[in-house]
Amino acid sequence: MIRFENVGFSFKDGEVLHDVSFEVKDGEFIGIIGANGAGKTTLIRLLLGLLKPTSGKVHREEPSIAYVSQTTSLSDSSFPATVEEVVGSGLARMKPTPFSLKGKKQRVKEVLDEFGLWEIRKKLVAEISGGQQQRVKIAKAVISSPSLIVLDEPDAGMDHESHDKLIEMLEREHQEKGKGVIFISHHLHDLVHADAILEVRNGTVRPFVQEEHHHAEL
Amino acid sequence: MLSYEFMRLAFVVGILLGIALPLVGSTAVFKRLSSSGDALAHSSLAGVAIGLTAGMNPLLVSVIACIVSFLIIEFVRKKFPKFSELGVTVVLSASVGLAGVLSGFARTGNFESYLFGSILLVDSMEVVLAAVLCGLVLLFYILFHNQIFALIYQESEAKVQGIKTNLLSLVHSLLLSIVIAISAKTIGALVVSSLIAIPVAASLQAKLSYKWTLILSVILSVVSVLAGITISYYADWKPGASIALFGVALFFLLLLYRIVSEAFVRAKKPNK
Repeated sequence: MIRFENVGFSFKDGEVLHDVSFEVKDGEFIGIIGANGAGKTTLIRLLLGLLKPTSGKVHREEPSIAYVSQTTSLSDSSFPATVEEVVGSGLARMKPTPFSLKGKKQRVKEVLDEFGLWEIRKKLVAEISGGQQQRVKIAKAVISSPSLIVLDEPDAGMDHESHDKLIEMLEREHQEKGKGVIFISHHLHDLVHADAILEVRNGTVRPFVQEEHHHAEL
Repeated sequence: MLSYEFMRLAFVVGILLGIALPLVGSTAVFKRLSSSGDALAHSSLAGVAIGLTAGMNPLLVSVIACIVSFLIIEFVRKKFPKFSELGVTVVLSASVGLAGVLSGFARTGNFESYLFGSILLVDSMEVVLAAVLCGLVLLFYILFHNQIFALIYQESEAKVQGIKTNLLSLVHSLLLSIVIAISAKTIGALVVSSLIAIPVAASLQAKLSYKWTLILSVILSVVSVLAGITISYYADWKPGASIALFGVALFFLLLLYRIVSEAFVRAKKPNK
């Protein structure tokens, strides 16, 4: 469970969020929408504990969270990483490597199989297709069996087919495995199965009301 | 050649630093901080100049100068992300200026020997120092291989996973600074940055996994050091400069291999 209580956040050049209060229950699928620059990423970074609120409090009773950020080194050809290495890095903790290897190989194999990545496990991630890169991102997130997956517009710049596959994977994680999902998206139709949609607007967060918008797409 | 003790010591120190430099350099390269290595190498020169002028141990002052410089670069990078390269430029310029001015006042020692190094003049104490340093770097990269990978891949995601990214970055910065300062004395300040980035850049051409890129960069670095010292012995060239030139030659060889192999793969593909 995650609860925001009158949370506010300001950077040096001004306030980004104020009076933010909402709750995410275990296993819920929450969509977050809002215009560019509205403060969606700041909200997510507060939720993950990457930023500290300047006022109010964020309560986190979530045992394990996996985060899929907007930017990674996936498509960076100067970072040499295979599919297997990226997915396996989802299991890295602050334990020295020799003490954290037990059971790791088996788990990596299971997840690579599940996401159809076993055949391309030795390939460099910079050289696989956009759709395969999305599968790698999600596989890395779920490998540690988190109870909540938080995604910050992971579909940016993705083609339609890859985008649809990403949504399919998320819905499967939510519906079949009961995982909680918090998903920032620009597309309302991605969030049809969401338990609730929150809108970040005018520096605060409130439940999304369709009637207030002329267009379905933001 | 190996009948001389100074040559044996040179090879041992060269191999030890040849292992440590590309390892600490790889993280800097992948985090797009390789220019910091250059700035640190120059600040080690400033440290040497301060040490020689003030009559202090130049190696110790050089290590301190490198650590302070790295902290300045990191401070600018974090506080002013849009101008992160500015910190590197300021440190580099200040270091060159300080080294240039103070070297004229140096009371003892040969400042010029730090430019291209004096690997043929290392003593057993420096061998021990290089061995300890190499051991620490190896230990860090073996024990925290997965964590360092996660940090390079995406720092925020690594933090959420529970990896202490600030601590890892700090340890890496300290190791990088100390390795550069010590290497500046032996291989030469102007050559150190080439051993930080060139073996990594060369091994990237082979398109291997992260783990094998690191291993290959260490192999290429050690080969460069061994070949460079050997060439310098027979051709009477400066060892540091020979090491750098051999490293660059290896880079171009691997680049050529990549271009040819990619052209071969394209030619084999049937036209649509």
